[in-house]
Amino acid sequence: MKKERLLSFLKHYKAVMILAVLLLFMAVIKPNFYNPANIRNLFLKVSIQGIIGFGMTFTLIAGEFDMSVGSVLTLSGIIFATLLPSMGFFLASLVTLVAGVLMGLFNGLLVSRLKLSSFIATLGSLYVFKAVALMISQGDPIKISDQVAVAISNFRIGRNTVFPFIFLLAGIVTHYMLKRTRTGRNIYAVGGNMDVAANAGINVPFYKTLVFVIVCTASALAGILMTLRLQSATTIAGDDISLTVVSSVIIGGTSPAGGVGGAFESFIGLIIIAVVTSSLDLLGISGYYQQVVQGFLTVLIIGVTSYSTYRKTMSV
Amino acid sequence: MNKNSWKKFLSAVPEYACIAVMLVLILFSSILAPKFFTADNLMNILKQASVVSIVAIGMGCVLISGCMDLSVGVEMAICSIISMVMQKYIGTIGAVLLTLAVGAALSLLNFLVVYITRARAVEIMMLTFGLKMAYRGLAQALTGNVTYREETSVFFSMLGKGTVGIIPNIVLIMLGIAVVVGVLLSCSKFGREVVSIGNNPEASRLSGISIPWTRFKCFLISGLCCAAAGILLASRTRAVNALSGDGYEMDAMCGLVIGGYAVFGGYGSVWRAVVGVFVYSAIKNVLNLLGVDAYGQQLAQGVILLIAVAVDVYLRVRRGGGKQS
Repeated sequence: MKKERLLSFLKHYKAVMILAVLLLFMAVIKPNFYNPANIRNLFLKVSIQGIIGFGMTFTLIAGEFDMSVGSVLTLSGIIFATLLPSMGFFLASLVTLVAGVLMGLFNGLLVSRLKLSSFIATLGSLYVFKAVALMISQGDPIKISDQVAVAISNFRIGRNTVFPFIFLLAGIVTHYMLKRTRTGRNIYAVGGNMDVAANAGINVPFYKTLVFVIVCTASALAGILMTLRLQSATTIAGDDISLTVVSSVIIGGTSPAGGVGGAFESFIGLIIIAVVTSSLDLLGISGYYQQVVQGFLTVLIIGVTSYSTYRKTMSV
Repeated sequence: MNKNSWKKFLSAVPEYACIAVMLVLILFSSILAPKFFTADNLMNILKQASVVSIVAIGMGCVLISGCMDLSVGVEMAICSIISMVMQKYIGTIGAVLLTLAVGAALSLLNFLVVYITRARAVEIMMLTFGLKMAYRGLAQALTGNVTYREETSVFFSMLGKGTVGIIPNIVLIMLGIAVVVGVLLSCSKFGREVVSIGNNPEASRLSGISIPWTRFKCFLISGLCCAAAGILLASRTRAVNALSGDGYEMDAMCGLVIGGYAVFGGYGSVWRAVVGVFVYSAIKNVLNLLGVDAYGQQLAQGVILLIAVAVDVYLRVRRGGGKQS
């Protein structure tokens, strides 16, 4: 009895275990990992992709998948930086977020109405959004020099920038929406079993579209924050970010098959990937090899998840 | 014509949609860009499309069997680097053979990953996407991102640059590969098995077809095609680096989908792959002639892919026979 309880505990909190092992490992290998400056840096780095990660949690729970978030981030950053001089901070942010909503609608309608596979559809829109960003900026980075924008990126709470707090807030909002509202419950239902959800009277296409709108709006927000942090918008800002985000969310325990997951799981997953990246930096591994590690890590995570779902369906 | 045969004709339309698209495209481009029909330009399209066609023919086999491999572009780049660099050490023939072996090995490694993890549809795409990143990072790190411009033997450069009469060798090689793979797919037991496991894996398994073994052969063909494409690319451009193959998987994918391949398997044939890639290359060429810049072309690429997939899904859902996801 006790052993069974231990096993189920391990199964539920395996992401936490991985994180604990990683943290212990770093404590032994590189104690200066626990330097407050490094921890602060880690949270700063995770905050932008983390916001997308929380958005992606909705999408994955609904059983869909968005490859285009990186391009949405890039395009939003470019739109924001282009509009900033003429519109001012608040209006420019608003327009950028609306653009994010529209991009989400585009993806969502492709998947829910035209019934494209979400991977292929968002792979196509990845190219479309990136191309639009390139056309607007002609490939050059756009610098920003708005006073409000500079003030926000220099604002400190304690010794922290404002970004990690936005990240945590996004996490809390995600948790609330998923666990405490009808929308959240319906998203779980849609991801768990689409046909049953449709028979129960849930408007499946609406929720499928909604999850894309959520993730793209989150990416647009991330694009604005990225631009604020770097004080410029580049056309390569979001390259390859989608894979990082998806693997983070999945390692946390949100299943790509849909119906399982939550904000807390995604948070743990995001921290795990951030710790890994930060450790690789500290151990002095070059950018190309980091790409290799990230690629193989994705393969490992997706592979293990897919194998375990295979085992589960076989045993039923 | 009675009603029944008219229905038959209608249901055959999607089968040959890519030919119709090609005709419409040729018509439009000859009106929009008169230069399209010059011999030089047509020859250029032929040569450019040949390398992508070879990749697409291989990838097509994998696609029909219900898998997908997004790492073919990087595999091709690695093969092209090896074929160029190794000539100094082991001779031209040795380098070509080694390249074919490496291509096959990389592709089979992908197969192994897909097989061991028992991945399905989207998971396969994500896995091979991750593998693509890993291979690319590894290739960049090992080569230091250097562009190789080695002296190559006459035979090697003839592969990509020579001509027989007015037809470039590269086109002949492509046609040769297309015929071999085409015969394999349409006239052999293996071909029928591939289509069968793509259409319905469970039924195929129950009727005694080994899914892993058939997919193994598909990935093998894909790897060999990547290697051949890599060799031709190296021979034609004489300058290759780890990023030479970037985007080829998207080009091949677009070509295949335009050619009417089902994204999730069970449908397609080699001539469709070739026609699809040629249509796609012709579209790119016309955009070039019309003076659309690189960014506009990237936009067009995305839009073409989306439209082609949407039409594919629409026709399949309407016809009812195919799979939706």
